Formats: sequence, C-alpha cells, structure tokens
Amino acid sequence: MDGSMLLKVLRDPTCLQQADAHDWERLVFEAGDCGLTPRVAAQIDAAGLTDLVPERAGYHFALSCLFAARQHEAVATELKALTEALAEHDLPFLLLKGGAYVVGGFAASQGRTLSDIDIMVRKKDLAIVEGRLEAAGWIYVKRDPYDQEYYRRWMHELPPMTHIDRQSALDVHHTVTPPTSAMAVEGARIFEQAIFGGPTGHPLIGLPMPADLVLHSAVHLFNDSEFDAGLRDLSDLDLLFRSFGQREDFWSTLLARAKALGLGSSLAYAVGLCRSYFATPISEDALAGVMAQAPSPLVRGVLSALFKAALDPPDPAGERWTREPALFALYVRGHALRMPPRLLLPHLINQARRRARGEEEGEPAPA
Amino acid sequence: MDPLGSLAPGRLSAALAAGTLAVEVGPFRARVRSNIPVLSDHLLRHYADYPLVPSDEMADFQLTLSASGGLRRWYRRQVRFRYQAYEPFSPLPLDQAKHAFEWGFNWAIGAQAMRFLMLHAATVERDGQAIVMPAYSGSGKSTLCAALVHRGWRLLSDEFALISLEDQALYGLGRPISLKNESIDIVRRHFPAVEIGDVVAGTRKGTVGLLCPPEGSALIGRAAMPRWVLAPRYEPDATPDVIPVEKSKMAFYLSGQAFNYHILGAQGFRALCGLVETCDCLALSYASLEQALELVDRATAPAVGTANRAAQSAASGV
Repeated sequence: MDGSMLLKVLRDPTCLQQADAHDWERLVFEAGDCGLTPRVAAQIDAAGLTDLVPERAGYHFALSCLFAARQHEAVATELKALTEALAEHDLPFLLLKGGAYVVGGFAASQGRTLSDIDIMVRKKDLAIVEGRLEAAGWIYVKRDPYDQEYYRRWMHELPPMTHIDRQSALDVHHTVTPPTSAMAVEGARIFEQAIFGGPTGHPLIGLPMPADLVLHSAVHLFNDSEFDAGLRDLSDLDLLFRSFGQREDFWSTLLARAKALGLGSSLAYAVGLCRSYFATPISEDALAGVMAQAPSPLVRGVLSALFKAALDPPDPAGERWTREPALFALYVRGHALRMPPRLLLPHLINQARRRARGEEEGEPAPA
Repeated sequence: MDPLGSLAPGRLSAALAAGTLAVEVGPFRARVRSNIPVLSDHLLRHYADYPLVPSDEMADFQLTLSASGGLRRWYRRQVRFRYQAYEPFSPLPLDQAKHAFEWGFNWAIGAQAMRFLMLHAATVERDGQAIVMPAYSGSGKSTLCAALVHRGWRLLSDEFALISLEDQALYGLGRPISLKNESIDIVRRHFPAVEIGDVVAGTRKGTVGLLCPPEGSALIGRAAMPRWVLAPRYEPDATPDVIPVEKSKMAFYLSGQAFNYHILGAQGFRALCGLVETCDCLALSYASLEQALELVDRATAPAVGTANRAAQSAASGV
C-alpha cells in the first residue's frame, strides 16, 4: 500500500502536483479496480486541481463521471418502480447505502458508483413484498434451492433479485445484521427512527436516520464476506463522518445508537480504518466514546490487519501475498458470524465444491 | 514512437515480465504483463507494427496473462487473464493463451467508452470510405470481413466500430481477425495463400483461429468516414440480396449492438442518428461467401446510383 496513488490522492489530492505519467496511470488503474474513479475525479475537481489532469486520464475520469451520473439517474427509475410495487400498496420501505446517499443527497453520493439498490422492509411484510416484487418483474438471480434456503435461514436479506427488463439488481433486507448472529438487531428498531417523506418524496419511503445509516454501512462492510467494493464503502463512511460530524448531536446520537443496537465493534473498525486511510477528523471525545465500545486490543489488532489487507487497492504490479489469505479468513469469519459452527463447515465445503464445478454465479464465457 | 517489432524477442519477454511494455492500438494504450513465453511470439507476429508507448507516458488499462499457480502449475495447466485486478472470465487451458489474450483485449476495449460510440461491428475501408457491418455472432461478420480484406479493403476492426463523437469518423484498431468453426475452412478455401494460425479446437467458442490481415491492409489508428451500414445475415438457404433498410430501423438495430449507447445518452443518440443519416443503410442476406462478396462489390461500387437502388428496393418490396 505504500506505493498506492489512490490512497495518497484520497488523503490529499494536492500530492498530484508532483505526479508523473506512471503515477497517473497507477491512479487510473487503482481507482478503476476499486470503483472509485468518479469519486477521485470529483475530489480532484473539488480541490481545484482539474488543470493537472493529463488528457488521457481525463478521458477515464469523464467516462466514469458519466457512468456514475447514469447510475444515479437509474436510482430514480428504480425508486419509481419500487414505489409503484410497494409503497402504493401501503408497504413502507427504507433505502440503504448507495441508494440512500443519492436520494438523501448525502456527502457519500459524491462520485458514488452503484451496482445495486438496497432496501429494507418490515419483516412482517416480507412475504407480501416478495409477491409484489415478483409481480412487478423482479426475479431471483439464484434459483437454486440451496441458495434460497441459505438466504432465508441465515441472512438478513432475501436472495438477490434482478429486474427482468432493466437487469437492475435489488437486495431486499428485513434488518441490518444476520438474525442468528450475536449482533442481531430487530429491523423494527431501524424503522422506528427512520425519516419518512422528505427527500424520498413519499410518506411510506424512508431513509434511516443518519446514525443508523452510518451503522448499517459499517456493519455491512465489516461483517460481510466480500470486499470487492470495500475501499469505496470505507470512503463513503469517511465522507459521512466528515459531513454528519458537522451536526451538533451526530456523534452523541451515533454512540448511543451503536450501544443500544450492539454495533459498537463495527463502528470502532469504521472509525479506526477511516482515520488510518483517510485521516478522518474526529474529536477526542467522540473517539473516546468509540473506543469504549471497541473489541479488545488483540482482536482489534488482528482484524484491522486483515481488513487492511483486504481493503488496500490491488497492486497493478501483481497480487500481494497477503490479499488472498486475508480475503479467505474474512470470508470464513463473515459466515461464522451468522451460522452456528456445526453448520458452518458443511456450508463452506459445499460452496467450495460448487465453485470448483463452476455452478455458482454461472461461468462467464469470454466475449 | 518505435514499433513493437523493433524490440528483440529477449527484450520483449523481459519487458512483459517487468510490466514495462505498453502498446498503442488505435486510440487505446494497453500495458501488457505476462510470464507466458507464447505471448511474446503472439505480439511479435500480430502487433509488430504497433507503436510502443514511450516510458514517460501512461497507458489506459493493463492486461495481465499469467499461468495459474498452485496445483494448476503441474496439472492441466491454465492461463488466467486479468484486466487490472479484475478477471472477466475464468482461467482457460494454457493452449488457448493467445485466444485468451485476444478475447480479453476485446473485453477491455468494450469496457472503454471514452470518446467513441462503440458498436459490435466489423469495419473495413477503401478509398477513405468505410463499411460498418453490425451483426449478431453467427451472422458471418468476421468471415466476410476476412474475405474483404483480401479483396482490396483495409481492416479497421473485425469486432468494433469506434465512431468518434466529435466528427463521426471511424477509428481503426487492426488486430488479428478471429475466425470460428466453419469459417476457418471457408476462408482457407477461398484464399488458399492465407495463413490462419493458432487453430485450437475445444474452446468455449468451438474451434478458433487467428488470421493476420495481409501486409499493409490494416488501417491502424487512422480514421475513415463511414459510408455504408450493411447488416450481413448468413443463412444456408438465403436468396442472395442487398436491400435498403429504413434509417430509423437501422438506428434501432444498431442501438442493440452498441456497447456504450446507454451510457453516452444524448451524445450517443446523436452519433447514431448521424451515422445512419450519412450512410446508405443496407441488409445483406447470403448463402455463400462468393454471393456476399459480389453483393458488397455491387452495393459499394461508385457507379451504383440511387436509381439502381430504388429499382432494387421496389423489386424486393421494401
């Protein structure tokens, strides 16, 4: 990571004043790999450094911004379709993550790429929501009975869906953490505090309150088994801490909420890694409050090292040897958090066997 | 800029291993990394004329072709393609390394929208005027393209139409033409002198081979103006014919063959409309390569006037 241009630029874009062609190339490669090209472009513009951008890097930046703009437009399209399918039938829902940032106009919408829309519905509505969505053209990507059962039993969300016409991806959550995990949260508690109407333009469509939005993003990042967009998600948290942190009561609410929902450890990783990667400014008091809820120094040390190995941008010169083992360790941990040990091993073996046979995802053929 | 062929094979392999090799292919610059010896042979055979990117300039993307590690180092050896850190397709058997590189390169180009409207189409040029041949796979686009470049047309690309958003010009990539299954024999039969190399059976696309365009027949990195949009369709029992297609219909068809139309939005729409407005839009149906070549000749002959085409269209009922 010492050589990563992406990390340097996200920390301080003025370092580009000394950049040569190799630095720009590395920045373009790394940002592309991490889904952060439009955000880097936006931050360079915001820092008034647009004139430094070489023509060829500029093409990549312009394209990525165009792409992000299309994705943000698509959020509006999806929101309209979801409104017709759910809200107009008295089924309320919340937007989470990228969709919430874009619709709420939050800081993390800046140059945000989106690959899917995440929503949360009330658990008691789940069956009827599924029916409504299917009637409106959303279908399951993974129709295999094993996957269906797996999601329904162990996950806080339905199996991923895609819209049959628009090919857009949708994740339907009913809470923020796997219900069988130690940090299970009643989805209703997020709903209670959510803000309905306002930017969503519909009284039954809400956004989690800022503290919950941050906590969900942190929990999602640090308890999941995949880190493909990990650095982008961490950068989201950095931007959210910076902007929400301006509000008088944000940190006190956030700390109280983390404690009440039992999500203090995810918050501690979010704050620790944001500070380490992006030098996020956080007051001494807030920091003390975060640390009071953090896991033990040993656990924190080990996991932070694993997270860093997984979050660092891939080195264009080749893979670092730490990356694969760290991703594997976190993959197992992500599963261990939601499944009892006696079911964990058979599940992982089954997944590995299916991957070896190329069943999962369906093998992409070369074009 | 020096051509890639100016590097001695030893230095080329060393540069590939060190990641210091970048090549300019039309508007795109690819850094190529590899520890597989056959890739330097492949580059010297098919990319010798392409300029090397100077060491103080940047590339657009990086293609890495590596032999798989672990058990695969000894057993059923595989080749892994990566676009930067991303693997768009699973590892392939090692004997498909050159094809994996070409497919991966196509994938990478498809992922760059930059300042072009990019269509899935073969493009060839003669006297500064170009034909855009959009088609679904299996329609004989590459076969026809391979035949045309042996009949006095110059290759822009067998896979992409890169249409400048600024001036509608088509940009050339050159690169080897990828032929599949029966088309390998068809091209060999028609052009016995032509060499189709690296024929490998049993790939996901069946038997594949790479055809090197004849010397001087590739128009790399230069632009030509599109003059005809011609959608070829091979069918074993087709009545050979070229018929005009309504411009709006052709635009609609082309939008379905575009890689980045949905991203470009209004710019893409304008480029697409500009293309069909300035071009003759034609549909070609054929049952043999002879018929296709003859019909393309006729449709693109300078003498063919509107009257002739009107007669044809009246005859065909369109």
